[in-house]
Amino acid sequence: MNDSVKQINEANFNIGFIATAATSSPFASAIDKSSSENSTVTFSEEKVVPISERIKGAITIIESFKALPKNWNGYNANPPSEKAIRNSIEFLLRLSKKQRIPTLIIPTPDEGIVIELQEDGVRLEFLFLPDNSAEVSGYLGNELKFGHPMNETTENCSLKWLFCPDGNCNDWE
Amino acid sequence: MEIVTIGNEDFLLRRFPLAHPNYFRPDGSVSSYAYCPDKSDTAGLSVNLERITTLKATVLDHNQFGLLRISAGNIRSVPELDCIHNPIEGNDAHSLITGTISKNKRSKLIELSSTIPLVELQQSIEHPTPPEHPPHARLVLTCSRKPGNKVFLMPCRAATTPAPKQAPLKQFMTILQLQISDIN
Repeated sequence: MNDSVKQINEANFNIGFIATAATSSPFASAIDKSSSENSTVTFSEEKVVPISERIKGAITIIESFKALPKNWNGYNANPPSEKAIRNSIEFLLRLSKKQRIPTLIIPTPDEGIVIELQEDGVRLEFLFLPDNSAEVSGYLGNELKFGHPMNETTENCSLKWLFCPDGNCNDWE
Repeated sequence: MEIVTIGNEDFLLRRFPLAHPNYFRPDGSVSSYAYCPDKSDTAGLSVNLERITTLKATVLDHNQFGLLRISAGNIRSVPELDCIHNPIEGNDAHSLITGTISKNKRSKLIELSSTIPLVELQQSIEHPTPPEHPPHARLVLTCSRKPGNKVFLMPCRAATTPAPKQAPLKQFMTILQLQISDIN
């Protein structure tokens, strides 16, 4: 299965890129357009998925981090890097295919972005780093159960660990 | 500023964002990234030693930041972590959590921390008080209950503080013993 994002229907899709650097983004032409139910993302296996309002909201949150001032955490942290922002948004679009919503989206002091998903006491943490790499970690409560570099396999396996722990779900994605 | 020894009973304070961005999860817990160092944190992670600062001075802006409180003993209970006083210009209370703070250790630190309630922060701003235990006058009173229902209060001297004056201390203890005897 290949979940890579192939095309984004940007018509009427407002995710509010605010920095000039967004001109290199696949969403750049969406600036100033109004939001709509019609936004979709097409994956490489030609599956077309509507982008939910909550995912759009999550993307808007990530974009807003571009405007963070230096020292946003009170300890001189810089805002997240372009690469971390781009990779985390692409992850959100893949997540929209699975109909899952993040429970926490935050910038990290080392210019990365964290997206968390939580079910009861079980938590997945996706960390997007400024060097273009990403990591996924699983927690039971506050106890770290695993941590891996992120790729298609670890992304899917970790999501399945969270949403379908007994491996017997037909509709988890 | 004289370097003070941080005892295990001391508390350290660390800011975390609570507006934009917001490190609070929907369930009220705080992300362990509050204890994440950045590239410039080569010597250690910045915290403030509570006994020589105020909540107001540490939080900077209570609309933007919250405060985590953790004891030095709890920091030292995490393998390879320690804390040291490291005063800097403009912040005598500045201290460092030293040692490599991995993901697992961040999770431990957040588990061992408490969030200072917003009410307490607001009160500290509306009614600022000087540090409760300035190093030159610090007394730790240890309370122990002995047979006969008597309570003894014993002064303990912090490692870096001068010896307390005996006469006022005796008077102070006498008063306390009297008051506690009255209660009993």
